[in-house]
Amino acid sequence: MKLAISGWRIFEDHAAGVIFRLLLAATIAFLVLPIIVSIILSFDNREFIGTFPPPKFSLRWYRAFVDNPSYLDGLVVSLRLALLTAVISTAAGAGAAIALADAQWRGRDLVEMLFLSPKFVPTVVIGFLLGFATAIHVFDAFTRLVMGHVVITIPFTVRATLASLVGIPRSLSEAAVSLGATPWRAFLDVTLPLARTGIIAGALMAFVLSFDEVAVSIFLTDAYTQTLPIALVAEMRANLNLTVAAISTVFAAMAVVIVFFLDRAVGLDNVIGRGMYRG
Amino acid sequence: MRPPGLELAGVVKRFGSHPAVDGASLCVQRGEIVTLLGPSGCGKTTTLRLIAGFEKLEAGRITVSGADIVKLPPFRRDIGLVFQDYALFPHMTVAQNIDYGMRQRGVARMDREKRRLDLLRLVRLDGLEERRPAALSGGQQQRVALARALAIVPRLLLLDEPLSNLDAKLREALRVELREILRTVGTTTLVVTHDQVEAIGIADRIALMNRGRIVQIGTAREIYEEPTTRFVAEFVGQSLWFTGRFEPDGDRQGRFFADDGLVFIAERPITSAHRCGLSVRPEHIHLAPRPDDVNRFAAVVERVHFFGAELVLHCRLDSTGRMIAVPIRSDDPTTAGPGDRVELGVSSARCRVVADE
Repeated sequence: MKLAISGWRIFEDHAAGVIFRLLLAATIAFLVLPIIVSIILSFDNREFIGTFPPPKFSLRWYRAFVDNPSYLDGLVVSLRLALLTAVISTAAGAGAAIALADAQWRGRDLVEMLFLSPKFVPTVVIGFLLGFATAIHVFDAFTRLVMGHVVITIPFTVRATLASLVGIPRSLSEAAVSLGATPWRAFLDVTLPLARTGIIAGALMAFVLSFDEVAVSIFLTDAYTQTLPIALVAEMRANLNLTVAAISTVFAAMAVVIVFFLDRAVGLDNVIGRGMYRG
Repeated sequence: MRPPGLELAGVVKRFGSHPAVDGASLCVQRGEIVTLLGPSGCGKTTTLRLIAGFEKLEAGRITVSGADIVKLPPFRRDIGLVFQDYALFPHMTVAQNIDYGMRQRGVARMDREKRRLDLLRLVRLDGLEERRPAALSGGQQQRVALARALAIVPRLLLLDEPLSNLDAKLREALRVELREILRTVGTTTLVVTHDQVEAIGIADRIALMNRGRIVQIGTAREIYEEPTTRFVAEFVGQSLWFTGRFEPDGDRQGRFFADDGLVFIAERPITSAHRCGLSVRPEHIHLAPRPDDVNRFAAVVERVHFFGAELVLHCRLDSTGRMIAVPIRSDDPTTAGPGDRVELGVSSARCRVVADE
């Protein structure tokens, strides 16, 4: 009988380590390279989309972005929309999650399914259904957009809040109650602060999802109310130029700034990582 | 006479068709510390939650200092509760944790601070007010939980497995300390535990619980020396068990005929149960029989195990072949080695006939 760990096993172990590192590097390259290319292209001085790298640099595409009213209008609509969506979706989603986490009432699983179902239906289908339902012009385009975006973001705010609630031991709110707090008071003082990171994570997710949403919005916008992504799609179809690259660069920079401040404020781990109670 | 600090009468709680608490009755005097001891699943935690108001009573009565509390919601019961996991609020400091109950009661800031300082001194945590629970050791967290529960001047204090989350060495020290603190405070206290050492170390009296009922209440000594049922005899300490029947022989004594053929002279039991048996504590069996050891059995030592202060001799009875482990002090001069013939003796007073339940 041979008891020593064979050399092949050790080789295998090293090989697995190397392969995983290569995969990681490849993934990062795939994620980062297109961004770098589009950043460089956004400073291209040429009138047309030419070979990479560009021979001369300028800010012309940034000027084109600022000068185009449909982009700026779109930006304003998108920001308002994303903000409102985040607020409504977080309030409704967190409320639903709290009701779902707390009780064992009948039909609880059915309601949870209902709240999470938009995640499993293709967004184009949701957009079509909502567009169809509102085709009779009961609501203006902006209201339609808010409704559509709340529907598609609510699974994320529900999930994020649920995940953080599940980690909070029941004994904490019971302790508060035993000390004389009403259940509502105990919820405000103990449960809510501890679920905070999950709720914030859900709100951010809702904001980001709403901000770059295309599939649903395409059915819900009209000629007067366009979101930025829809304006971009329309522009790209009409005349493809590098304004898109300039806008992408602006957003990438915005994302970096947001991530930086979030990390400073609450700690990135809390928001996107575990995002739940830790004793 | 003043009403008892806590009284349970015929308390029933079912989960589905399973009775978790099945007619439990218990009386705790004012200022007394009683432990509710029992194996896991015996209903002791449910009993605690019923008293705290987190479970709904199905039948029976719970009174605290004479007042029925069953109708009160948990936040109006004024019962201090120390949870097994301490349940300290992780986002609050030690001071905020302790103040929480007083804030709910609208206690003025000056009074809050004074009481908090007193309590912190009592549990010997002065100076740690601004710490978060995560920055405290397990023992410190437990004492904060105790101080927080005491801050509301509870009518009754409930502790759920107070030492089970601590490592063995710390447990020893904290048990003594916990007892001291509870003595000083003088609040009526019910401690739930499955650990008999913990139960004996903390309480004035022990209430043994099994299958949703309180089966025996008494001091540690009473429970240990005068168990009334097989469950009590075997749950607290070690016990040798013989099933059989008892035949009285005079007013005080009788013979116990064990099913395996052994015959013991035993004292007359208190039990009138149909099914009964004989319980003998191993340490009451003597290797060198004393004059009053009227029950004597020939045996052969087969193995000897050394445990430091104690030796355990595994002896095989000649008559039935049953193995009996007899502990003796390791410096006992009457010790025997493997293969030696011995005579095991036990007095009639140490042979207890109890109900087999």
